[in-house]
Amino acid sequence: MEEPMRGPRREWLGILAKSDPALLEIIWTGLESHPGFTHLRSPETGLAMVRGRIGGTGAPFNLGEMSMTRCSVRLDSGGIGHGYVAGRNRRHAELVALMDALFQEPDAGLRHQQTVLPELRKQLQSTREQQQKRTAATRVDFFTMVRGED
Amino acid sequence: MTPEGSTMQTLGRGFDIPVHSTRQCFRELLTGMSRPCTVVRLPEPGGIPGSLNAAACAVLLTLADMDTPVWLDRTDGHVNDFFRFHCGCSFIRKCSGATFAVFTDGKNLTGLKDVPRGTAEHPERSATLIIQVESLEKKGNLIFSGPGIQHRTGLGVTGVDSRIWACVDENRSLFPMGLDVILTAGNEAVCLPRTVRREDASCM
Repeated sequence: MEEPMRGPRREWLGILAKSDPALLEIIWTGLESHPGFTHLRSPETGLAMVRGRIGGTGAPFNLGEMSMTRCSVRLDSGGIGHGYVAGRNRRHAELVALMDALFQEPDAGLRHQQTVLPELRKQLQSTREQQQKRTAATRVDFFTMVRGED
Repeated sequence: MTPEGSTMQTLGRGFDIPVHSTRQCFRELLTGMSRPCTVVRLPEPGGIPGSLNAAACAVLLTLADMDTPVWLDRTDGHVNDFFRFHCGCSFIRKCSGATFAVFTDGKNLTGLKDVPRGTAEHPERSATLIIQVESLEKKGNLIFSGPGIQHRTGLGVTGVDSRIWACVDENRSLFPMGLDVILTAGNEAVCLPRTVRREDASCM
């Protein structure tokens, strides 16, 4: 088997997949150098079954299928990156794969992580807060008056 | 994991346009299976791992998936990684459980007797042999007949262990069980389904 995915990589793949593709594109364009790359697997869209433990027994339940797009690239340096994103945005999957490969580069990887990830984290955080604010504005507190039973 | 670093670093491309090429390859294999001894030309994959030739690689890229355990006659990490990545298939050590048995060296078919022939109830549970040979020719000293061949047809194969012909002959007594064979050389392939009969060339 492959070595189990290490903590930081798992985290950045999550962040990259959930980030706004437009922002990723801007960050990618802003990088000082763009490595050459080839597709190991060109971006392709497919379906993945989403399963969850829904019943009271905790048995897995097929919730439904969602569309996913995946892509794998190899940089000219030999590093390989994989990208899986929800939806059908092929460029997003490609960008995730490219960033994943960049972050794993032996020398420059850490530097790339430090320039890219904080910005993405910040954006995700603010999106989440906005969402929470919007939700909170429409909050309704339900209560029931105690009825006298006499 | 290999000590000299992950072999993933040498992973190659599959077909350039997977949907198009796998369908084309499937069509060619159908032609080959329905017209035994016809030399079919298969689409070439972008990257061909290690010990495989282009046609064997194309056949596996087209037919193998997570439900088809593959057995290879040697340990080749490049081949394992390549097909695990592109097809999601698993490689097994014992050919008795294989759906595809790949002989990268056609001159040495040791292990052929353990390849599953299916059972009387489930003849489809047999394995398909993929054997790499040196060359394939439409004309040759081997004569075949059977469904899909109008009268008789010749076939020339070099670089193959004679045990394969014993196996093809054995298919006649085993039917409906038996082995389907795909011979590959370069980007060409010849299919010998289990219905094919080898004729004695001296009778011609």
